[in-house]
Amino acid sequence: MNKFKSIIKIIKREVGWISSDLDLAAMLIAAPLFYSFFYGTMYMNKIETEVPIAVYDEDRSNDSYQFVKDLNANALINVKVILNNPDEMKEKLINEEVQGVIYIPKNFSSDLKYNRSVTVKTFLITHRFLHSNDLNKAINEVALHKGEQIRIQYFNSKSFSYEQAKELSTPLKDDTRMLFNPSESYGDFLIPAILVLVLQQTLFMGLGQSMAKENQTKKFIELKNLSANNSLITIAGKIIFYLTLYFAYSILFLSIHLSVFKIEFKGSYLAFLLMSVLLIISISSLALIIGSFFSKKVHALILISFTTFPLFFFTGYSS
Amino acid sequence: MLSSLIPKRLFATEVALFILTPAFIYSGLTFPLWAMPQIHQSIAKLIPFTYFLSGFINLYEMGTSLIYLKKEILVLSTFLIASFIITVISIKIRLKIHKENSDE
Repeated sequence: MNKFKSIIKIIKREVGWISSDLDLAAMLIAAPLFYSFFYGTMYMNKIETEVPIAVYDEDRSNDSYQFVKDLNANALINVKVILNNPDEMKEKLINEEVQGVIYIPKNFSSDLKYNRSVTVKTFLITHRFLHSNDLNKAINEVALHKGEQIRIQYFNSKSFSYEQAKELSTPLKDDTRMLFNPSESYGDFLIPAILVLVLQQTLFMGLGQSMAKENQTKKFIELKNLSANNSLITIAGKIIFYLTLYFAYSILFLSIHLSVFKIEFKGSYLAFLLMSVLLIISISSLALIIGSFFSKKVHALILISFTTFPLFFFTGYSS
Repeated sequence: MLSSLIPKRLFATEVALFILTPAFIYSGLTFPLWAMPQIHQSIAKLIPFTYFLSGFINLYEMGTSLIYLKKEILVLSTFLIASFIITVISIKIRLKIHKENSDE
Protein backbone atom coordinates (compact mmCIF):
# COMPACT_ATOMS: atom_id res chain seq x y z
CA MET A 1 0.00 0.00 0.00
CA ASN A 2 2.86 2.33 0.90
CA LYS A 3 4.48 1.56 -2.40
CA PHE A 4 1.29 2.49 -4.23
CA LYS A 5 1.07 5.77 -2.29
CA SER A 6 4.69 6.53 -3.16
CA ILE A 7 3.98 6.01 -6.84
CA ILE A 8 0.94 8.30 -6.63
CA LYS A 9 3.06 10.97 -4.91
CA ILE A 10 5.70 10.81 -7.64
CA ILE A 11 2.99 11.02 -10.32
CA LYS A 12 1.46 14.07 -8.60
CA ARG A 13 4.91 15.65 -8.38
CA GLU A 14 5.43 15.03 -12.12
CA VAL A 15 2.05 16.62 -12.96
CA GLY A 16 2.98 19.59 -10.78
CA TRP A 17 6.29 20.00 -12.58
CA ILE A 18 4.65 19.95 -16.00
CA SER A 19 1.94 22.41 -15.05
CA SER A 20 4.43 24.86 -13.55
CA ASP A 21 7.26 24.45 -16.08
CA LEU A 22 6.49 26.07 -19.42
CA ASP A 23 9.29 24.22 -21.23
CA LEU A 24 7.96 20.82 -20.17
CA ALA A 25 4.35 21.79 -20.84
CA ALA A 26 5.27 23.04 -24.33
CA MET A 27 7.13 19.84 -25.17
CA LEU A 28 4.66 17.35 -23.67
CA ILE A 29 1.28 19.00 -24.21
CA ALA A 30 1.52 21.60 -26.98
CA ALA A 31 4.15 20.00 -29.23
CA PRO A 32 2.47 16.59 -29.82
CA LEU A 33 -0.86 18.21 -30.66
CA PHE A 34 0.60 21.00 -32.79
CA TYR A 35 3.29 19.01 -34.61
CA SER A 36 0.98 16.12 -35.44
CA PHE A 37 -1.37 18.44 -37.33
CA PHE A 38 1.40 20.71 -38.64
CA TYR A 39 3.44 17.89 -40.22
CA GLY A 40 0.39 15.88 -41.17
CA THR A 41 -1.13 18.70 -43.19
CA MET A 42 2.09 19.02 -45.22
CA TYR A 43 1.24 15.71 -46.87
CA MET A 44 -2.51 16.22 -46.77
CA ASN A 45 -2.85 16.32 -50.56
CA LYS A 46 -1.13 12.92 -50.49
CA ILE A 47 -0.20 12.68 -54.16
CA GLU A 48 1.25 15.16 -56.57
CA THR A 49 -0.84 16.19 -59.53
CA GLU A 50 -0.36 18.60 -62.41
CA VAL A 51 3.43 18.34 -62.51
CA PRO A 52 4.50 21.15 -64.85
CA ILE A 53 6.19 20.21 -68.13
CA ALA A 54 7.05 22.03 -71.35
CA VAL A 55 6.55 20.75 -74.88
CA TYR A 56 8.61 21.60 -77.90
CA ASP A 57 6.46 20.59 -80.86
CA GLU A 58 8.52 20.75 -84.02
CA ASP A 59 5.84 19.02 -86.08
CA ARG A 60 2.92 21.33 -85.29
CA SER A 61 0.46 18.92 -86.88
CA ASN A 62 -3.01 17.84 -85.80
CA ASP A 63 -1.56 14.54 -84.56
CA SER A 64 1.11 16.20 -82.43
CA TYR A 65 -1.47 18.69 -81.12
CA GLN A 66 -3.72 15.76 -80.14
CA PHE A 67 -0.76 14.03 -78.45
CA VAL A 68 -0.06 17.17 -76.36
CA LYS A 69 -3.77 17.33 -75.51
CA ASP A 70 -3.67 13.69 -74.36
CA LEU A 71 -0.64 14.45 -72.20
CA ASN A 72 -2.38 17.43 -70.62
CA ALA A 73 -5.48 15.33 -69.94
CA ASN A 74 -3.46 13.05 -67.65
CA ALA A 75 -3.99 14.07 -64.00
CA LEU A 76 -0.26 13.98 -63.28
CA ILE A 77 0.78 16.22 -66.17
CA ASN A 78 0.32 19.92 -66.65
CA VAL A 79 1.59 21.15 -70.02
CA LYS A 80 2.60 24.56 -68.74
CA VAL A 81 4.52 25.92 -71.69
CA ILE A 82 4.66 25.29 -75.40
CA LEU A 83 8.19 26.25 -76.42
CA ASN A 84 8.86 28.08 -79.65
CA ASN A 85 12.57 27.56 -79.55
CA PRO A 86 14.63 24.54 -78.37
CA ASP A 87 17.08 26.94 -76.69
CA GLU A 88 14.38 27.77 -74.11
CA MET A 89 14.49 24.19 -72.84
CA LYS A 90 17.67 24.60 -70.79
CA GLU A 91 16.48 27.74 -69.04
CA LYS A 92 13.07 26.31 -68.17
CA LEU A 93 14.66 23.16 -66.73
CA ILE A 94 17.41 24.89 -64.76
CA ASN A 95 14.99 27.42 -63.29
CA GLU A 96 12.74 24.44 -62.50
CA GLU A 97 9.77 26.21 -64.05
CA VAL A 98 9.04 22.78 -65.47
CA GLN A 99 10.10 19.30 -64.34
CA GLY A 100 10.49 17.95 -67.86
CA VAL A 101 10.42 18.77 -71.55
CA ILE A 102 8.85 16.67 -74.29
CA TYR A 103 10.32 17.01 -77.73
CA ILE A 104 8.04 16.01 -80.61
CA PRO A 105 10.07 15.63 -83.84
CA LYS A 106 9.18 17.24 -87.16
CA ASN A 107 8.19 14.00 -88.90
CA PHE A 108 5.82 12.89 -86.08
CA SER A 109 2.60 12.95 -88.07
CA SER A 110 3.96 11.75 -91.42
CA ASP A 111 5.88 8.83 -89.89
CA LEU A 112 2.81 7.70 -87.95
CA LYS A 113 0.74 7.95 -91.11
CA TYR A 114 3.11 5.56 -92.94
CA ASN A 115 3.39 3.26 -89.89
CA ARG A 116 6.98 4.18 -89.26
CA SER A 117 8.35 4.31 -85.74
CA VAL A 118 8.61 7.77 -84.18
CA THR A 119 10.75 8.71 -81.20
CA VAL A 120 9.36 11.33 -78.84
CA LYS A 121 12.17 12.50 -76.58
CA THR A 122 11.54 13.27 -72.93
CA PHE A 123 13.97 15.23 -70.78
CA LEU A 124 13.27 14.86 -67.08
CA ILE A 125 14.85 16.46 -64.03
CA THR A 126 15.67 13.37 -62.03
CA HIS A 127 17.21 14.81 -58.89
CA ARG A 128 13.77 14.83 -57.27
CA PHE A 129 12.89 11.18 -57.75
CA LEU A 130 9.22 11.53 -56.99
CA HIS A 131 8.45 13.98 -59.81
CA SER A 132 10.53 12.24 -62.45
CA ASN A 133 9.15 8.79 -61.61
CA ASP A 134 5.58 10.05 -61.67
CA LEU A 135 6.12 11.96 -64.90
CA ASN A 136 7.91 9.07 -66.55
CA LYS A 137 5.05 6.75 -65.67
CA ALA A 138 2.38 9.18 -66.87
CA ILE A 139 4.14 9.97 -70.17
CA ASN A 140 4.65 6.25 -70.82
CA GLU A 141 0.95 5.61 -70.18
CA VAL A 142 -0.05 8.29 -72.70
CA ALA A 143 2.49 7.06 -75.28
CA LEU A 144 1.41 3.42 -74.86
CA HIS A 145 -2.22 4.38 -75.25
CA LYS A 146 -1.40 6.38 -78.39
CA GLY A 147 0.60 3.43 -79.76
CA GLU A 148 -2.32 1.10 -79.11
CA GLN A 149 -4.71 3.45 -80.93
CA ILE A 150 -2.39 3.56 -83.94
CA ARG A 151 -2.16 -0.24 -84.07
CA ILE A 152 -5.95 -0.54 -83.80
CA GLN A 153 -6.31 1.90 -86.71
CA TYR A 154 -3.84 -0.14 -88.73
CA PHE A 155 -5.66 -3.45 -88.14
CA ASN A 156 -8.98 -1.76 -88.82
CA SER A 157 -7.63 -0.65 -92.17
CA LYS A 158 -6.82 -4.33 -92.87
CA SER A 159 -10.53 -5.20 -92.52
CA PHE A 160 -10.39 -6.51 -88.94
CA SER A 161 -13.27 -5.60 -86.64
CA TYR A 162 -12.61 -3.17 -83.79
CA GLU A 163 -12.60 -5.97 -81.21
CA GLN A 164 -10.21 -8.10 -83.30
CA ALA A 165 -8.01 -5.07 -83.92
CA LYS A 166 -7.93 -4.36 -80.20
CA GLU A 167 -6.91 -7.95 -79.45
CA LEU A 168 -4.20 -7.91 -82.11
CA SER A 169 -2.86 -4.52 -81.04
CA THR A 170 -1.99 -5.76 -77.54
CA PRO A 171 -1.31 -9.51 -77.72
CA LEU A 172 0.50 -9.42 -74.36
CA LYS A 173 -1.38 -7.67 -71.60
CA ASP A 174 -0.10 -7.05 -68.12
CA ASP A 175 -2.35 -7.08 -65.10
CA THR A 176 -0.59 -5.34 -62.24
CA ARG A 177 -2.38 -5.23 -58.88
CA MET A 178 -1.31 -2.54 -56.43
CA LEU A 179 -1.30 -4.02 -52.96
CA PHE A 180 -1.66 -2.23 -49.59
CA ASN A 181 -1.29 1.32 -50.98
CA PRO A 182 -3.20 1.05 -54.25
CA SER A 183 -3.21 4.76 -55.04
CA GLU A 184 0.58 4.86 -54.41
CA SER A 185 -0.10 7.79 -52.16
CA TYR A 186 2.91 9.41 -50.56
CA GLY A 187 0.71 10.90 -47.83
CA ASP A 188 -0.90 7.59 -46.87
CA PHE A 189 2.58 6.13 -46.54
CA LEU A 190 4.26 8.96 -44.66
CA ILE A 191 1.63 10.56 -42.41
CA PRO A 192 1.28 7.58 -39.98
CA ALA A 193 5.08 7.36 -39.66
CA ILE A 194 5.30 11.09 -38.93
CA LEU A 195 2.58 10.83 -36.27
CA VAL A 196 4.50 8.06 -34.53
CA LEU A 197 7.74 10.03 -34.82
CA VAL A 198 6.08 13.09 -33.23
CA LEU A 199 4.79 10.87 -30.44
CA GLN A 200 8.17 9.32 -29.84
CA GLN A 201 10.36 12.42 -30.07
CA THR A 202 8.21 14.70 -27.91
CA LEU A 203 8.10 11.99 -25.23
CA PHE A 204 11.84 11.43 -25.55
CA MET A 205 12.61 15.16 -25.29
CA GLY A 206 10.00 15.90 -22.60
CA LEU A 207 10.83 13.08 -20.22
CA GLY A 208 14.56 13.48 -20.93
CA GLN A 209 14.26 17.13 -19.84
CA SER A 210 12.22 16.16 -16.77
CA MET A 211 14.97 13.75 -15.70
CA ALA A 212 17.68 16.35 -16.34
CA LYS A 213 15.63 18.79 -14.26
CA GLU A 214 16.04 16.44 -11.27
CA ASN A 215 19.78 17.05 -11.53
CA GLN A 216 19.50 20.74 -12.46
CA THR A 217 17.30 21.60 -9.45
CA LYS A 218 19.06 19.06 -7.22
CA LYS A 219 15.70 17.39 -6.51
CA PHE A 220 16.90 13.85 -7.00
CA ILE A 221 17.11 13.40 -3.26
CA GLU A 222 13.43 14.34 -3.03
CA LEU A 223 12.62 11.60 -5.54
CA LYS A 224 14.75 9.19 -3.57
CA ASN A 225 12.87 9.99 -0.36
CA LEU A 226 9.46 9.74 -2.01
CA SER A 227 10.25 6.30 -3.35
CA ALA A 228 11.88 5.16 -0.10
CA ASN A 229 15.05 4.51 -2.05
CA ASN A 230 13.26 1.98 -4.27
CA SER A 231 14.39 2.31 -7.88
CA LEU A 232 11.38 0.41 -9.28
CA ILE A 233 8.98 2.81 -7.56
CA THR A 234 10.99 5.76 -8.88
CA ILE A 235 10.82 4.45 -12.44
CA ALA A 236 7.15 3.48 -12.17
CA GLY A 237 6.21 6.87 -10.69
CA LYS A 238 8.12 8.72 -13.37
CA ILE A 239 6.81 6.62 -16.27
CA ILE A 240 3.14 5.97 -15.39
CA PHE A 241 2.03 9.56 -15.98
CA TYR A 242 3.75 9.67 -19.39
CA LEU A 243 2.38 6.25 -20.28
CA THR A 244 -1.16 7.47 -19.55
CA LEU A 245 -0.66 10.75 -21.42
CA TYR A 246 0.95 9.20 -24.49
CA PHE A 247 -1.49 6.30 -24.56
CA ALA A 248 -4.23 8.94 -24.76
CA TYR A 249 -2.32 10.59 -27.64
CA SER A 250 -2.12 7.21 -29.40
CA ILE A 251 -5.89 6.83 -29.19
CA LEU A 252 -6.33 10.43 -30.34
CA PHE A 253 -4.05 9.92 -33.36
CA LEU A 254 -5.79 6.67 -34.23
CA SER A 255 -9.30 8.06 -33.97
CA ILE A 256 -9.06 11.75 -34.89
CA HIS A 257 -5.88 12.28 -36.88
CA LEU A 258 -6.26 9.29 -39.21
CA SER A 259 -9.84 10.31 -39.82
CA VAL A 260 -8.89 13.97 -40.53
CA PHE A 261 -6.14 12.87 -42.93
CA LYS A 262 -8.50 10.27 -44.48
CA ILE A 263 -6.20 7.34 -43.78
CA GLU A 264 -7.83 3.96 -43.42
CA PHE A 265 -6.56 1.83 -40.54
CA LYS A 266 -6.93 -1.76 -41.69
CA GLY A 267 -5.38 -3.72 -38.82
CA SER A 268 -6.32 -4.66 -35.29
CA TYR A 269 -6.84 -1.71 -32.92
CA LEU A 270 -5.87 -3.85 -29.95
CA ALA A 271 -2.55 -4.81 -31.55
CA PHE A 272 -1.85 -1.13 -32.29
CA LEU A 273 -2.56 -0.11 -28.70
CA LEU A 274 -0.42 -2.93 -27.35
CA MET A 275 2.47 -1.90 -29.59
CA SER A 276 1.99 1.75 -28.55
CA VAL A 277 2.29 0.79 -24.86
CA LEU A 278 5.50 -1.13 -25.60
CA LEU A 279 6.94 1.82 -27.56
CA ILE A 280 5.99 4.37 -24.89
CA ILE A 281 7.56 2.32 -22.08
CA SER A 282 10.73 1.67 -24.11
CA ILE A 283 11.16 5.33 -25.05
CA SER A 284 10.37 6.46 -21.51
CA SER A 285 13.05 4.16 -20.10
CA LEU A 286 15.54 5.41 -22.66
CA ALA A 287 14.63 9.03 -21.87
CA LEU A 288 15.16 8.39 -18.15
CA ILE A 289 18.61 6.91 -18.80
CA ILE A 290 19.74 9.64 -21.23
CA GLY A 291 18.20 12.47 -19.18
CA SER A 292 19.90 11.32 -16.00
CA PHE A 293 23.33 11.99 -17.53
CA PHE A 294 22.63 15.72 -17.92
CA SER A 295 22.74 18.41 -15.30
CA LYS A 296 20.83 20.89 -17.46
CA LYS A 297 17.51 20.55 -19.29
CA VAL A 298 18.78 22.39 -22.34
CA HIS A 299 21.66 19.95 -22.82
CA ALA A 300 19.30 16.96 -22.70
CA LEU A 301 17.00 18.69 -25.19
CA ILE A 302 19.82 19.44 -27.62
CA LEU A 303 21.24 15.92 -27.55
CA ILE A 304 17.87 14.19 -27.90
CA SER A 305 16.79 16.54 -30.69
CA PHE A 306 19.86 15.44 -32.65
CA THR A 307 18.37 11.95 -32.78
CA THR A 308 15.22 13.00 -34.65
CA PHE A 309 16.48 12.76 -38.23
CA PRO A 310 18.80 9.78 -37.71
CA LEU A 311 16.02 7.80 -36.01
CA PHE A 312 13.68 8.51 -38.90
CA PHE A 313 16.26 7.46 -41.48
CA PHE A 314 17.24 4.35 -39.51
CA THR A 315 13.66 3.08 -39.64
CA GLY A 316 14.10 2.63 -43.38
CA TYR A 317 10.89 4.54 -43.95
CA SER A 318 12.46 7.25 -46.07
CA SER A 319 13.62 4.97 -48.86
CA MET B 1 19.03 36.54 -34.40
CA LEU B 2 16.93 34.07 -32.39
CA SER B 3 19.36 34.06 -29.47
CA SER B 4 19.39 37.86 -29.39
CA LEU B 5 15.58 38.04 -29.44
CA ILE B 6 14.91 35.29 -26.90
CA PRO B 7 16.69 35.71 -23.57
CA LYS B 8 16.02 32.16 -22.24
CA ARG B 9 18.45 29.62 -23.70
CA LEU B 10 16.08 26.67 -23.45
CA PHE B 11 13.22 28.54 -25.10
CA ALA B 12 15.56 29.78 -27.87
CA THR B 13 16.62 26.15 -28.46
CA GLU B 14 13.00 25.04 -28.66
CA VAL B 15 12.13 27.81 -31.15
CA ALA B 16 15.22 26.97 -33.23
CA LEU B 17 14.16 23.32 -33.28
CA PHE B 18 10.67 24.33 -34.32
CA ILE B 19 12.02 26.31 -37.26
CA LEU B 20 14.81 23.99 -38.35
CA THR B 21 13.09 20.60 -38.12
CA PRO B 22 10.62 21.17 -40.97
CA ALA B 23 13.23 22.96 -43.11
CA PHE B 24 14.26 19.72 -44.81
CA ILE B 25 10.68 18.85 -45.74
CA TYR B 26 10.03 22.41 -46.91
CA SER B 27 13.04 22.28 -49.20
CA GLY B 28 10.79 20.23 -51.50
CA LEU B 29 13.41 17.52 -51.75
CA THR B 30 11.20 14.73 -50.41
CA PHE B 31 7.75 15.93 -51.43
CA PRO B 32 7.04 18.72 -53.93
CA LEU B 33 6.16 22.07 -52.46
CA TRP B 34 3.45 22.67 -55.04
CA ALA B 35 1.64 19.57 -53.81
CA MET B 36 1.46 20.97 -50.26
CA PRO B 37 -1.38 23.21 -49.02
CA GLN B 38 -0.89 26.93 -49.67
CA ILE B 39 -0.08 27.76 -46.03
CA HIS B 40 2.90 25.39 -46.05
CA GLN B 41 4.11 26.82 -49.37
CA SER B 42 4.05 30.29 -47.78
CA ILE B 43 5.96 29.11 -44.68
CA ALA B 44 8.56 27.41 -46.90
CA LYS B 45 9.26 30.75 -48.56
CA LEU B 46 10.25 32.19 -45.17
CA ILE B 47 13.01 29.61 -44.60
CA PRO B 48 16.47 30.42 -46.06
CA PHE B 49 17.34 26.71 -46.35
CA THR B 50 14.67 26.31 -49.08
CA TYR B 51 16.52 28.77 -51.33
CA PHE B 52 19.97 27.56 -50.42
CA LEU B 53 19.15 23.95 -51.23
CA SER B 54 17.55 24.90 -54.52
CA GLY B 55 20.68 26.83 -55.54
CA PHE B 56 22.98 24.15 -54.19
CA ILE B 57 21.27 21.43 -56.25
CA ASN B 58 21.53 23.62 -59.34
CA LEU B 59 25.25 23.99 -58.70
CA TYR B 60 26.31 20.48 -57.81
CA GLU B 61 23.96 18.43 -59.97
CA MET B 62 23.20 20.66 -62.92
CA GLY B 63 26.55 22.42 -62.99
CA THR B 64 24.92 25.78 -63.57
CA SER B 65 26.69 29.11 -63.47
CA LEU B 66 26.04 32.02 -61.13
CA ILE B 67 23.66 33.66 -63.59
CA TYR B 68 21.06 30.95 -62.95
CA LEU B 69 21.21 31.53 -59.19
CA LYS B 70 20.00 35.14 -59.32
CA LYS B 71 16.77 34.44 -57.45
CA GLU B 72 18.42 32.36 -54.70
CA ILE B 73 21.24 34.87 -54.17
CA LEU B 74 18.80 37.77 -54.06
CA VAL B 75 16.52 36.09 -51.52
CA LEU B 76 19.40 34.85 -49.32
CA SER B 77 20.91 38.37 -49.37
CA THR B 78 17.56 39.80 -48.27
CA PHE B 79 17.43 37.27 -45.43
CA LEU B 80 20.98 38.20 -44.45
CA ILE B 81 20.31 41.95 -44.40
CA ALA B 82 17.00 41.62 -42.56
CA SER B 83 18.33 39.23 -39.91
CA PHE B 84 21.49 41.31 -39.44
CA ILE B 85 19.48 44.50 -38.89
CA ILE B 86 17.12 42.77 -36.44
CA THR B 87 20.09 41.26 -34.56
CA VAL B 88 21.88 44.61 -34.28
CA ILE B 89 18.73 46.37 -33.01
CA SER B 90 17.95 43.54 -30.58
CA ILE B 91 21.49 43.46 -29.15
CA LYS B 92 21.52 47.27 -28.82
CA ILE B 93 18.26 47.14 -26.84
CA ARG B 94 19.55 44.35 -24.62
CA LEU B 95 22.83 46.18 -23.97
CA LYS B 96 20.86 49.30 -23.07
CA ILE B 97 18.65 47.36 -20.65
CA HIS B 98 21.72 45.72 -19.15
CA LYS B 99 23.43 49.11 -18.72
CA GLU B 100 20.32 50.63 -17.08
CA ASN B 101 20.10 47.67 -14.70
CA SER B 102 23.76 47.92 -13.72
CA ASP B 103 23.46 51.72 -13.25
CA GLU B 104 20.60 51.15 -10.83
